[in-house]
Amino acid sequence: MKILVVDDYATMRRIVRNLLSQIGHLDVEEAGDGIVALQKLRETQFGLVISDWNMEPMTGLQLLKEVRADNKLSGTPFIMVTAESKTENVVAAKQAGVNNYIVKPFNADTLKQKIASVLG
Amino acid sequence: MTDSSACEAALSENRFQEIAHEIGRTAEGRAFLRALELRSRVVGTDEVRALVSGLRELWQQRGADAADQRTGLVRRELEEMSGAILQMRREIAALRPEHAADNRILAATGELDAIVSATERATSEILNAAERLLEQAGQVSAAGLGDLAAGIEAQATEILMACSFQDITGQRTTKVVNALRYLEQRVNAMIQLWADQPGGPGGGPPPGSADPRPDAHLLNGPAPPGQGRSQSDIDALFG
Repeated sequence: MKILVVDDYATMRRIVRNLLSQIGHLDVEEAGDGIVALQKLRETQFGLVISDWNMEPMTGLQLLKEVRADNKLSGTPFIMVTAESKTENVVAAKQAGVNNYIVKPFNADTLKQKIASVLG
Repeated sequence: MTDSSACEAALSENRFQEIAHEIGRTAEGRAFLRALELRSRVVGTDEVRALVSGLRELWQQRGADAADQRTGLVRRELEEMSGAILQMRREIAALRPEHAADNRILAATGELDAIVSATERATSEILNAAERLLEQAGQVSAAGLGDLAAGIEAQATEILMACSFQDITGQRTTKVVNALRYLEQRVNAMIQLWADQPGGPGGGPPPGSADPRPDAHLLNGPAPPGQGRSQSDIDALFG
């Protein structure tokens, strides 16, 4: 299964990629913002999107809404990994159709648990 | 009470009408009654006029005194405010640095940018080391030392996760840098406006200060300690 990691901070992408590698997910692609991520999603089929929220020019929330509004992509599991930890953020993401929400800083076990939960 | 006043008090309306009727029987008597009425009316009007005039003078005098006091107070307040504004204008105009290098806000922004760059480089080097450890853990595992390899991998993972601090501190630093830049733009705008510099930006918002992203109102960055939701709170929202 191919996983797309979206974060404007390269170090964070690298960390998540390493964690995914440890749990057996080696087919990982990266994107630095929502627009690049959307292009990749429309070109290739991904089984999971792990995205940051605060990116420019397209945020993770906008990316999520675009994914959910696209008939071909709407079923793609989507995990938000962000430092935005206010209730209004979580509610907004949930209303937009996010499958799970991880607040930064997180530990390896949390990421592993959420991925397992989303992928069933 | 005198006899005269007793008589006046005893004069009823009927008796008054009878006397008036008696006097009015003759032309001279009717002329007398008209003259009496006229004199009574003049005396009453003069008394009322004098009373009103007295009251008016009294009122005007008191009003003028109070108005003078209020006007003086307002004038003094306005003069003090005007002086304070003038002083503030001079002080803000004096903030203008001679050279860009003297701008402390600019310097502070540069320092923070340098901190972000330095920690980014350091984080990258730590990550490189952690990734090498993970590779070596694989080699150790292949050599039949599974427990040792698992231990090394666990510690390397801890190092990897600890490196995510740079993301959080980077976001916090960016917030401070943006706040400093905004402050700098506003101070420069005021300096240009009050120092009569041509081409000043005026009172509008500084260019580039508005975030065009539709969810900009939700982009607060990392919450101060104790203010954001914990992971367990968020998990509860997802049932």
